[in-house]
Amino acid sequence: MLAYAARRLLGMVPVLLGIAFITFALVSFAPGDAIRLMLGSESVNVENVERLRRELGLDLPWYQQFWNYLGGILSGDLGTSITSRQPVADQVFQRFPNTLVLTAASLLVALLIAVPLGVFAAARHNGAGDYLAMGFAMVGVAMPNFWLGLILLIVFGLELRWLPIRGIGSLADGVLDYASHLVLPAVTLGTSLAAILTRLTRNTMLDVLGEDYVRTARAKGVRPGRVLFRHALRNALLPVVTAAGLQFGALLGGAVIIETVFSWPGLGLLSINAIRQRDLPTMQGAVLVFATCFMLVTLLTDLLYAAINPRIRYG
Amino acid sequence: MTVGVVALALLVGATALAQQRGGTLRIAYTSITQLDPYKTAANDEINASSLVFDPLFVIGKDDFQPVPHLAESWEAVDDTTWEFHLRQGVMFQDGNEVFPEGQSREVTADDVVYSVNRFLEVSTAFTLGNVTSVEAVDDYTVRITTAEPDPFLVTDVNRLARVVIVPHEAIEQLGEEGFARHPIGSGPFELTSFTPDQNLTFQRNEDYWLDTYLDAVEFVFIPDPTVQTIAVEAGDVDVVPYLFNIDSVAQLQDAPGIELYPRGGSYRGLGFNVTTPPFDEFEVRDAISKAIDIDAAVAAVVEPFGHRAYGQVPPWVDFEQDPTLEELWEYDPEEALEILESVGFTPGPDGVLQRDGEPLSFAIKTIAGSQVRVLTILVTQLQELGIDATLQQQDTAVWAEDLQTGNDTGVFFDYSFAGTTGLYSLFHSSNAGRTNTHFYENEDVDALLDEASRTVDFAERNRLWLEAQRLIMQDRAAIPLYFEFGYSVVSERVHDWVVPWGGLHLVSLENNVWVE
Repeated sequence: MLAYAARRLLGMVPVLLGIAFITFALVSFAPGDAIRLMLGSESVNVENVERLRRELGLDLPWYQQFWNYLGGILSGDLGTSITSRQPVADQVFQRFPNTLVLTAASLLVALLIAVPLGVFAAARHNGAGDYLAMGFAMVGVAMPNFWLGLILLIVFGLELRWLPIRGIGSLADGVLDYASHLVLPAVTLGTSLAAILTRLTRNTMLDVLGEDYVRTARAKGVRPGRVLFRHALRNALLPVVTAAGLQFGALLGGAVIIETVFSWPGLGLLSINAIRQRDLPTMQGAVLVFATCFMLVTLLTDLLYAAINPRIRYG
Repeated sequence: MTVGVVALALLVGATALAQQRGGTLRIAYTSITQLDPYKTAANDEINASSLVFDPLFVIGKDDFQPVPHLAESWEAVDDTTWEFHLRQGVMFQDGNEVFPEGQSREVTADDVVYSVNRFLEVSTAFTLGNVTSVEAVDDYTVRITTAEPDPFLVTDVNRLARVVIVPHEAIEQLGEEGFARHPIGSGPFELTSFTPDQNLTFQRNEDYWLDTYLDAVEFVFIPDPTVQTIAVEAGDVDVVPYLFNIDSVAQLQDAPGIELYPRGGSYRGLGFNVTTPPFDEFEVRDAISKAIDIDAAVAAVVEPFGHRAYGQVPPWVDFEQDPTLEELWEYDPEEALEILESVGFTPGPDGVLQRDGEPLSFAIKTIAGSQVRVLTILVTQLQELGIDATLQQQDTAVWAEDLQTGNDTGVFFDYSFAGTTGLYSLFHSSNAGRTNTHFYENEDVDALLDEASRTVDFAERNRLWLEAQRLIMQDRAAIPLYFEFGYSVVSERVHDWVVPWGGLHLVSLENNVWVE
């Protein structure tokens, strides 16, 4: 399995190069750039802006810029932000943990809602509980999460004042403070994933519950709870984990929006600001880290299979 | 108790409340990634860094005239030489990496010389114009010489008012990057902590030359403008320094516990690239200006949070308003049609006006904002006359590049912050392709603007400036629509707030912010 993981990791290198190239090309050929934005200001110092363009190598042809950029990546240098003039690597790695915490918490929220609800719905197949759970799933998928975020923020932050409306807590102020800041963004981000996973859990549970060995187990007189959780759930979980892993990319995408609503200082927010100001090096850095993260999570999902279902072996 | 105080305040006027010392002021911001005051045009970064530094003068809160700050006084020695007299005994902040506690030094003329030179060298956002030399006459006197007479150096908020004084030791010891993270100046507040987009706090500089009421200032990171206003309502922050969305203004004006402070604003109009057919023809531009009922659109969407503009010179700079401009802009759709017919446009089979088989068809490029609704009304009016006008909304960076590179459709939403020299930026031929996206070139206008920029006498400068404006408007290089006011959203517990104008001044000779 180690060899398998190593091979997969090695395979990421060309993919990352491709991603670096595509984002670079997309951004270079898209209209609008940071220097032009600066030049549009009413009171601009043209000579200094032009000098900045040269200093940052933005006057070079795109292939040369890309070549320099690749050279930088290999030595761990993601370039310098055009707007803040700080190293991109610093900014990206300072924020990345925050995004990771948010997405992990959202995933947890999603699983905590989806698995019990899906099992419950399957157990009450075609009953009122089933319809209720599926109703939730439908609404959860349909609701745009920035809107849900604002609603939760107004209700729990402004009206009820139960939870903070912005920012990341500090662990120095205690775990409770940290967690209280995490609740609203994680619930917002986790809801649509929870909705998807609830449906999935319910459907696979129904499939599994129809299997012969479940009927056998029931016929043997195994308690219904044990049948549900020991015999059925474990097998039903495999597609759920796959889906959760694949949906991690969607979570990262959602984080871009949710971080803005909840002032969460993560990578998504950094990218949004970079896009607004056409800060090319920062955008690139953020996309690269997002992509790497997505690939690692996919690998992790594959490896998790083996842990959940011992029949799966990688060699 | 609070009710009693309010009632009393109503009875005897707002001065009944005594100033209180202490407390923390919490200001919302969207993005702050660095604090070097010379390397940014972003309002948030300028607001934050201006707590740490002192400028020579600030732009006054009532009449937008320069008010002494670090410079006690200044005068024009001759047409091209300004002399500034510095306040004595002002110290740089101590207790930091550069100046250990008790080992600070006085701000002198040499620091001003250093600062002006550094500003000239590194500022990408603002320009000082043609400064030829800056020298220290003695410890407290600085002389700045310009190539030509330059009255804007002190009256324009984007010139010398932007040059806050920095100590050379700090930049030398910390480096450019380090200084951007740990700014040290002579201002009323010292930086205590800074993590970009996370946490930014300042505490009172105990040695400041003015008595400061606030203990501390916290900048609160809230990137979403909607959430910023929610945060003020929730009491989570005290101030949103700039509110750019008039829908939010309308919503907040009756909100309990919140006050809106107006100051300045922006110019919004319809611009033409006067080199793009058919807008290279005066008649076409003129016809468009007569085909739209701007009054109705502005009344419906903008008022009372802005008002109709007849020229580009806004009411909040020291130039006068020209009342005669109003006559230039008459809504007369029938005449518009006649003018278009006179240059060969006739209704085509589909009702759209056309000439030589070419329909009169164009997209107006715009960015998001109140103008989208104003322009929608205007576009509808144009369509009713058989002009195939549409609205195309773009991302700001795309729109800016599009306009600078010539804008293929020839007509666009024309936007500026409407500072003192806005007319020069927007219409002088030397700025064509940068801020002059009209690609407007008129020798007479250039000459008038150049002459005005060199004229020290205000009355004469005003006359020349307004004459240039009149020529531009007569040429229909742009159709001014409205000035939209800018606002700060401020909690009731904050007093003496002045909307930032070229920098945030919590403590000055004019005001001293305090909180209940």
